Amino acid sequence: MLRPEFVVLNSKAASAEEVIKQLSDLFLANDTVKESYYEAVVEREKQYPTGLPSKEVFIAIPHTDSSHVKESSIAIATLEHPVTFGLMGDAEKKLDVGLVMLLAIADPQKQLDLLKDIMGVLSNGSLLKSIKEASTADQVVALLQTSIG
Amino acid sequence: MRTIQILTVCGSGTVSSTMVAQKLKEALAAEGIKIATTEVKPTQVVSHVEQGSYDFVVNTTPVPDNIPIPVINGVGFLTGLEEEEFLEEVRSVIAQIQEREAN
Repeated sequence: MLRPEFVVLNSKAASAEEVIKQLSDLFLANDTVKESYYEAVVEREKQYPTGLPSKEVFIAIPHTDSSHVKESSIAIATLEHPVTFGLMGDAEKKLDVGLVMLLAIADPQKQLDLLKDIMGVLSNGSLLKSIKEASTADQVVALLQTSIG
Repeated sequence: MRTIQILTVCGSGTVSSTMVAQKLKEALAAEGIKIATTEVKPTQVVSHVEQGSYDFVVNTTPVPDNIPIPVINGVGFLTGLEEEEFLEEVRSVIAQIQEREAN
């Protein structure tokens, strides 16, 4: 699911596409998604953006249809400089996010607990802040494991 | 009291809509309100509303303007930033439905 090798600290990505590429390449290298995954995520992001505000750090949760996914995985990047994403529910509005959590979900209906746990992370501002400030990948994994079983 | 039927909408018809549906189920179960949810993509909303018997829509992506049942934005519920406001709106819509059906 979330492994230390799926964590990128202080990514220098300058755009949403760039950070999605960086993280989806990790999925691809570990064979958890299909070749089509990256393009599908970027296309979906344009139409239905996934930027979300929180009390602390803003986060984006790009994802796409499960048909592009082989094995459920989560990757996360902390960004050196904030990157602009559209706001979920209103593509006209933009927000600068400090964290990107790329989701590859193989079967949403069978992974309700996982989705609920991820939602718990999104609504936990102080946890997001701790993740943003983490200095090692293991630390990020450990922080997320407090919420995601 | 009958089960309230809710159509939840997000870009892929899976991830965000399922998150919102699960959280809403738990929040309302605690208040004794039973709901059933169906997760769809924005392009499936109109046909589902026309053919189904949904009480209202909860969306995290824009839906067409001409939906004849109430539409409640669920993004604030997803982030937790406007959880109480969202639940108040849901409770008030459900109360209206119950009042209408009692008459």
